[in-house]
Amino acid sequence: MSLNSLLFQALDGLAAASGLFFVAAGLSLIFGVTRIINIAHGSLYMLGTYVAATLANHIGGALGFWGGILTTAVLIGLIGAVIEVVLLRRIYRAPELFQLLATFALVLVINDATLWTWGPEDVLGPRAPGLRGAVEVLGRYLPSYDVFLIAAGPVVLIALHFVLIRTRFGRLIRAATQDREMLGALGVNQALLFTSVFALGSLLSGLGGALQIAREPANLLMDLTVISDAFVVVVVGGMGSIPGAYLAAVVIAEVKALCISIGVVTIAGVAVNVSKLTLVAEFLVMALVLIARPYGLLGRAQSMVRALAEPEDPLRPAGPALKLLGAAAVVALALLPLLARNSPYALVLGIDVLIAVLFAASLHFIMGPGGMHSFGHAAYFGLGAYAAALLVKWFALSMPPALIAAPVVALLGAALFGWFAVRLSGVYLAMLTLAFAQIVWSIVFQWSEVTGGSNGVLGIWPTAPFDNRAALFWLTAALTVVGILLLRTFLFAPFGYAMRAGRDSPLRAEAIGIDVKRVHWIGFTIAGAVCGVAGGVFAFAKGSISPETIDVSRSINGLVMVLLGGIQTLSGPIVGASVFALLQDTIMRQTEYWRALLGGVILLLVLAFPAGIVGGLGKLGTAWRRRP
Amino acid sequence: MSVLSVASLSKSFGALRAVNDVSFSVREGEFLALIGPNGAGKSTCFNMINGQLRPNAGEIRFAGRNIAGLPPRAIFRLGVGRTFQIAATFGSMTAIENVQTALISHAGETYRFWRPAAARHRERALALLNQVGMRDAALRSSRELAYGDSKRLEFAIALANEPRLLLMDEPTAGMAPRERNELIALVKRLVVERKISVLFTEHSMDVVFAFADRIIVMARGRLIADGDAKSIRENPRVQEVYFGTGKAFEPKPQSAR
Amino acid sequence: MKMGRVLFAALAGTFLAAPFGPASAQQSIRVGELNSYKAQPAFLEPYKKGLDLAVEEVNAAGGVLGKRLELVSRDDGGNPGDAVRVAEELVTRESLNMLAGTFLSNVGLAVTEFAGKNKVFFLAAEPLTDKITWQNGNRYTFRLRSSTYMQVAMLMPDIVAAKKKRWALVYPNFEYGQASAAAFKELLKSKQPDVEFVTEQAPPLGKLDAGAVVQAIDDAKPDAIFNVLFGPDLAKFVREGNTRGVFKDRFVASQLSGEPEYLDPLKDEAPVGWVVTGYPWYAIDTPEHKAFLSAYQKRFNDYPRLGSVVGYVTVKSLAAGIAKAGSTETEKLIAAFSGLKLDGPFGPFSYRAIDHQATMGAYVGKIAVKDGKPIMVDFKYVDGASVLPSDAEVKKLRPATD
Repeated sequence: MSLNSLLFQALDGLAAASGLFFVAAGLSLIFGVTRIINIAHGSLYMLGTYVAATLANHIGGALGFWGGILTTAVLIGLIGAVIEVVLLRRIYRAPELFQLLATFALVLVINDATLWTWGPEDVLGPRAPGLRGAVEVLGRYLPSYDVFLIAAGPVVLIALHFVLIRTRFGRLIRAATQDREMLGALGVNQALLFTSVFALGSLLSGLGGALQIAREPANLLMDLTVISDAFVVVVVGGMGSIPGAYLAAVVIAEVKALCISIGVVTIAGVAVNVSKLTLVAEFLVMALVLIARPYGLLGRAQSMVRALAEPEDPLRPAGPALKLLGAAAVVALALLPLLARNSPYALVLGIDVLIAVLFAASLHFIMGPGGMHSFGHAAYFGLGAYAAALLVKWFALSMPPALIAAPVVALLGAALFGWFAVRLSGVYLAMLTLAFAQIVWSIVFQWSEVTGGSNGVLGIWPTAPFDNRAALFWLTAALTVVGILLLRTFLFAPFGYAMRAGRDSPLRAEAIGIDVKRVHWIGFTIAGAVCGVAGGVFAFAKGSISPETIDVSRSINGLVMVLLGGIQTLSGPIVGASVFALLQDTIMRQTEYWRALLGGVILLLVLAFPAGIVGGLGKLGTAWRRRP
Repeated sequence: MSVLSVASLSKSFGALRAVNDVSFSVREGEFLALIGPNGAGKSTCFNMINGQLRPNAGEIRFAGRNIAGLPPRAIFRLGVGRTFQIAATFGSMTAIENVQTALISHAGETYRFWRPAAARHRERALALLNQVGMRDAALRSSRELAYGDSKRLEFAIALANEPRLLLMDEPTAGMAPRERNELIALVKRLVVERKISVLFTEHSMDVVFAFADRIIVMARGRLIADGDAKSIRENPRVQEVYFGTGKAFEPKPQSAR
Repeated sequence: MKMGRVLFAALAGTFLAAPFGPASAQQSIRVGELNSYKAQPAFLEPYKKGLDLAVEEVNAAGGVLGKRLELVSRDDGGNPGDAVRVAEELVTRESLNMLAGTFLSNVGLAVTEFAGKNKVFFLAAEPLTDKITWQNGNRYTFRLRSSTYMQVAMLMPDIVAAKKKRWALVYPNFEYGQASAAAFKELLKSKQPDVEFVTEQAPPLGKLDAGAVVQAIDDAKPDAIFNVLFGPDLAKFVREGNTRGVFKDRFVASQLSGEPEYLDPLKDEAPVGWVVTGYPWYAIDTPEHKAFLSAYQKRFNDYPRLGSVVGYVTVKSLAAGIAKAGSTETEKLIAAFSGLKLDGPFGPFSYRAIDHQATMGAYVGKIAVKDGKPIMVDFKYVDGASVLPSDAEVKKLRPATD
């Protein structure tokens, strides 16, 4: 590898960085001002690619291409505005993070709508008119379009910077990003500001997508690939910092380009393919940056934002009605295998639902009372699942010791990662947990000799006496009930109060002698261990596991379950997980466009129950009792 | 005998010397006010004593021990109670649970996982709430309390570790004048009963002159005066500092927060 | 809040009913079919059409054993966890003892494992991993599509004939890509011991940094490139490579790139001269294929993709197997499928008794562009049976007894 080739690869990295920057800048603006974790941002990007490719292919020529890109950007900006006005504006007062649920539903709906509109085949746009060729640099050929992108990134950066520094709109954006309460005091029309920022962010995303048509075909997987990249860039750069986003995009793209250009190297006689590191490069960068700089490269500590939503009500110990309901649920679980003799599927589904419930309850433990929004909770599910599976596979352990090992390994993982994570807060904590989960995922994915790589571990079946559905169901039910009761007991015990104290007011908690980080760390570790139980049971229930147990989508599903049920109630995760798992099972079976339908149902639930299902039912109950 | 003694305390932020070689002490049972115009370094000084900031130089001795640089929770453990300028309570708990949480921490029971917190130190929590006149609000969610009541609750929390010293950062900020005097009278009565020393900062000169046993004055990072109400009122340097910044010694109207 | 109440009632109703639904009466022979329809629509929409066409044909011809053939299709969620639940649903709630389908290797393997454990017949349609029939194979599982190893082996004669010394490899970083690369290196080394592998690029699936990867390959100065990328990654790779002149004067062998699913999106930029496996539906001149093609075009007003063939042959295999078994009993089905011979659009093939792998082959040819559309030319059909290792080797690879 020569110096020239390294330098040239740096140019490739810059071109890639510009692409990352466009989509990340929009996301950063939206988060900075509205504090919404907008996971539909990638979907708008994907939509931008489809629309621009279609315009360019059908109109043709320079007008179709360049005109199409601009038209697309404006169009996607308008769609963003509509989403904000029609959907998000209705739920700004919901508990924090709830908007994530709405944008998750949008991801599902937009993906299916795109499939319905454009069909399953990838749509390749034309090459850019005027920039079809390549220029010779350092004895190699660099596509002219890459040269254009390398320049376009900084141009957009400077333009945005100018808007933010020089215009009233920009000043408002900065004010809102730094101190939202001051903004309210200034008498700014907040609704209008939010809508316009959402439109601007979406426009940038659409622009980023549209500019990609000369480089890659529009396809249905873009939404999720892009969103994870974009979040990483935004967080590494520092939420709300546009120059930070550009810097982060450059760092990440260059690290990847370097890994690729190194290729295969021999270290101590072993050939190592460094290009495989691109699987996890951005997450490694993110973890390192966040550990060293808790607010990203150019980010600043955010002022405490007093949430728009009401804080939660004090915890009440279960009243007679709830105790009765709980007892009835336990009895029903115990009897189900007897009642369902003729429909064994009820048990199969029941096991899946119970695993989801335990998963969600353990996530809620740190997310709700702990205020730590883990976006990587699947890591501990996966650690539990793999611990059990690998012990069975390599050490021929039987089921009971493997099931004991599952939470132990998950606990160790959570203790390690949690130690770093609790030093951060808010979205930075969330993204660090995600980075750790992705690192675990990539190790499992890549270490084929031990973990079976992408295929996973096969042949993990329950041993007697749990080798029939009824017994396995009982076991799962027992573990889930015990797990939930344990978590509940912890929450009512001094430890739970300390954890909530640390969430409600870290300053006050420290001033009464509570070591908030330590308490949260222990909470994180407990949640990881309980989650590991769910993972261990999962491995035996399925007979095989693969890296998908650690996938981002499982972490996101966990968030969705907790938010759907209601983050501010203890039974929320139980109801949310049950509803989500059953909904998914039912809808998947019944319709071709099940994703859109699932998204649609979640949207309805979001609008009907802005405090989650249990929160909403609680309010219904209060209204019922107070009726004249 | 002094409970707290501060010696040559200094803190800089970049080129700015926020606190410059400050020394004073709080005597047993004393109600000591720390005053000064905005930017005088009061808050910085205060935050070094309560552990939120680490001093660049100097000593803070409490109960015979140098506490400079210790974290707030360690200082609490040594017997220092604290209230904040903007009342900080645990919004998701009832008033009594707020106090119980502090009592639990004081008793070293934070890492207990079994017996419910609600069953612990209940009587003592009620007694504390009673003393600050909040017994009837014990079961109300603390986020629903009126601002003055939050301040009282915070005071009850601050008393939970049976402190020898109480640090109060602008205890009456944001309160109406009548409420303000009531609260300080209550504080004064309770600390005298318990022989607790108090160091407080305060904007309201009314409160300061009416209640403080002694007053120390800071300006531009330095201590410029130390004495009783009368001597401070007549101190020419203090007058200069306050008039120089356009602030008079008259009570100024406080807007409700 | 009113909406909330209505919704809640509706949801509660759906759920209470859902897991207890009755299985319908056995008027027909029903086969459970599961696939990653949402995760992999480009391949699986045509596949679904192929399934439908074949079911209609089978039933128009009088069905199987005098009964109608019926597929109970499900989305497997694109991951093993959901797929196993769906498989269990088909087996327990729908009372089926025959499963077919799956696309992704990890999903296929999980269902293979499930089938072995629960003694359910499973015909894996598409997943390519060798492990389904070899390392993790079991007596209940058969596989239609040529495995990764077979795909590589089909290209091998052209690769060896090209006599290139310095090879660069590029493959997606997951089992399919890794296994292809490993098989490629092993097979080529055995035939051409002096071969040199100058670089290996393993980008994450769907996240190719095309510019950097193409450049790294160029910088390694290979004589030839072996590519396993497909889908959007392939399109990116081809466009970037064309612009940078990386494919100029280099021999490229590329797996699956001749399949319409992956070739057609490239349009006139398709890389001319690449040696690929694929499906040239427009030029296969056999009567079997012509019949399939015209039936398909008549039914859907669209041309078939490879997925269509896989779907179509899956159903035809099931029908033939059940007819031969004379029953839907699992053991009889296994016996019938072992050595089952039938004719597909690609001609005759069989399910081998030794490893349950079907010998349906693929077409190997070169990419060309005609009238702005990419096609395969100079192609030939390679029978799957001709590229499988010897029985002795297979026995070593497959611990399963049957």
